[in-house]
Amino acid sequence: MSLIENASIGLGVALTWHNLLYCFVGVFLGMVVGVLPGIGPLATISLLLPITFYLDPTTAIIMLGGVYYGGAYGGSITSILLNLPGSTSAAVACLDGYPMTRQGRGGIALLATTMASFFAAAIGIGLMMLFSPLIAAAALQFGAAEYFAMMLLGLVAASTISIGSPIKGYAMVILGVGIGCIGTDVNTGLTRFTFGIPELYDGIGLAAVAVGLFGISELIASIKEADQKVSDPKAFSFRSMIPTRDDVRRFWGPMLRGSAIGSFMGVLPGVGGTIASFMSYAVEKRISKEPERFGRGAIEGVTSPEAANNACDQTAFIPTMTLGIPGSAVMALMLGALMIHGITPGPNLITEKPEMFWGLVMSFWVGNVMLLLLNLPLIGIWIRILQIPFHILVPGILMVVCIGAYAINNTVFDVYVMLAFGALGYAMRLTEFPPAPLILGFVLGPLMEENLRRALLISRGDFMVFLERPISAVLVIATAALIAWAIWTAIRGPRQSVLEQPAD
Amino acid sequence: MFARDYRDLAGSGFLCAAGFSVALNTVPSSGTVSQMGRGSVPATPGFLLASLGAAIPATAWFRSGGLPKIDWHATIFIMLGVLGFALTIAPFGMVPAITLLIVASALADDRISPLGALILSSALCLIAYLVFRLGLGIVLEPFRWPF
Repeated sequence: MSLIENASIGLGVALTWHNLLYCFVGVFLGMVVGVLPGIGPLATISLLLPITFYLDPTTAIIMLGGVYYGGAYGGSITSILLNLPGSTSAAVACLDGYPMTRQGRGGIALLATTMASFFAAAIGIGLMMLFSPLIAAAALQFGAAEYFAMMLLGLVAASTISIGSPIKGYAMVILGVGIGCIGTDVNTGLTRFTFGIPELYDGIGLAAVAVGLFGISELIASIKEADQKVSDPKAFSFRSMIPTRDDVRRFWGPMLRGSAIGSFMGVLPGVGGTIASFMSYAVEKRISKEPERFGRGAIEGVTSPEAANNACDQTAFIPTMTLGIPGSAVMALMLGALMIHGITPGPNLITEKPEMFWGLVMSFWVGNVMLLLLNLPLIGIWIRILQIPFHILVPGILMVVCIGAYAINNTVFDVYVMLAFGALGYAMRLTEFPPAPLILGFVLGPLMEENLRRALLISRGDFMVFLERPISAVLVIATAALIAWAIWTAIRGPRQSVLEQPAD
Repeated sequence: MFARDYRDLAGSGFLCAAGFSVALNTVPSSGTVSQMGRGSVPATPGFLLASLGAAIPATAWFRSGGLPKIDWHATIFIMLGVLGFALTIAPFGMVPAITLLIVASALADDRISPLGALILSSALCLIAYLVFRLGLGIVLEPFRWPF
């Protein structure tokens, strides 16, 4: 089928009233949580996961996707206005965005990030439309060994490249894999780690784990957050957003470079919007003729990372939807949302469920147009959302979380699971163990086990199968190289990051 | 500040304990590579976890570090609120469960008065009814009586 035919199938799905509504709900919620510091898209998607159980799977993933890329738009607003990242991937926007606000150029910074975000998202979606069918076709050749090696690389990459100690990242991935083992072993039919509790025979639910780890722990940490003091919304009129000729001249290059870096990084396992935006900031600073402007309100320092971040969010869907291998915790949740409905994304998804795949892709266009229209005209609303006191917001979110967890199976057991993982999540937060790799391990663990066993069954227990097949050998070697690199940098001492360098 | 990074040492202790208990419990049921038992796959993460846990003190022991500030007040009240919700939702229904949850979480923070908490919880009950019961069609009765 041609691209145009596919696109029209997708548009037919994306433009139904029902899907338009949920796409709007998704991007709007994404904007809101993106704007609010502390509560990010990852927590929100976890919170919404139980609710999507009551929706059609295509609608569910359209909404969750909207939250994800909507959050990327919203996060930069808080960074620029308050010097406080609304979401982690928007942290870089603080570096030059906030100085621009202090110089009275905040409106221009907002305009630049919005335009760059839309442009980059468009490039990301375009790439997804072009390459997904090709990748899916190639992936049909993959066997169990390749899948196992690919997932292994994904897990190792995600925990190595994440910000913070790689040892802690590895430990959390492994803990996640271990927790994923709870329940009945599909090969032998015997139970594992169930302690005689019948509710555990089916394993523990992704939604309850994710809500506990990201939701509850986040709420405990943020209930005492001080209320925000925000500048007057009226200060951001359309007149303040008119860029100077110099701004326009400095706009295109960074936007294109940011989109390119972001699109590439998005496809890689383990590299999220945060790393893509840091990377593109570093690149801009390095190639700039006047690097001293960075950190003092350089428009390139806002445009390029925001472009990277949004392109990355879109292309991250490519491996998830075509291979069934999520590169980040958010993508693991997307995969989980589909698996709740009994759909396992993989190379067959595009041919078997074209209306779902292309519907999702076309909903990205719809959602990004919505975000473009919502972002700047409603800037006053976003600023007012920042003024909602946390002690009113947190109980409200807590209620949604609890009802959601209860409603998954109509059992209280999931609420207890959520509570337990909330405590674990808060403890991990205090000890700086990252929760994202845990979720990735939890989702990928059972899939890895299945493929590992299948590969070993075919090879009659010979581990050389992973090195004899060329694609799997390359992936295994890449994994080993990553681990070696992590050990080497750990011995050599930590690198200095872009953020640690003095900003002024 | 302490001479050693006790926060990371505690984390490593937990990982070692979890790893070893998993590993020791799963090895007997591992089977062989060509005839894998139920314990084979969980045993690997068990061993890896224990060894990573043992690797963390290698640096944490020689590094100074502070202890994190734990917000016991907020933690306990939010946990109690969720526990209260879990205990009441099935026997008594949605409204009492939400009220309990909101009042407890309001106590987690001292910026909201008892009356304010009550108003907030009634508003949230109404929203919950509209969104979950009418909007999404989730079966949640506002009130129930178990006896």
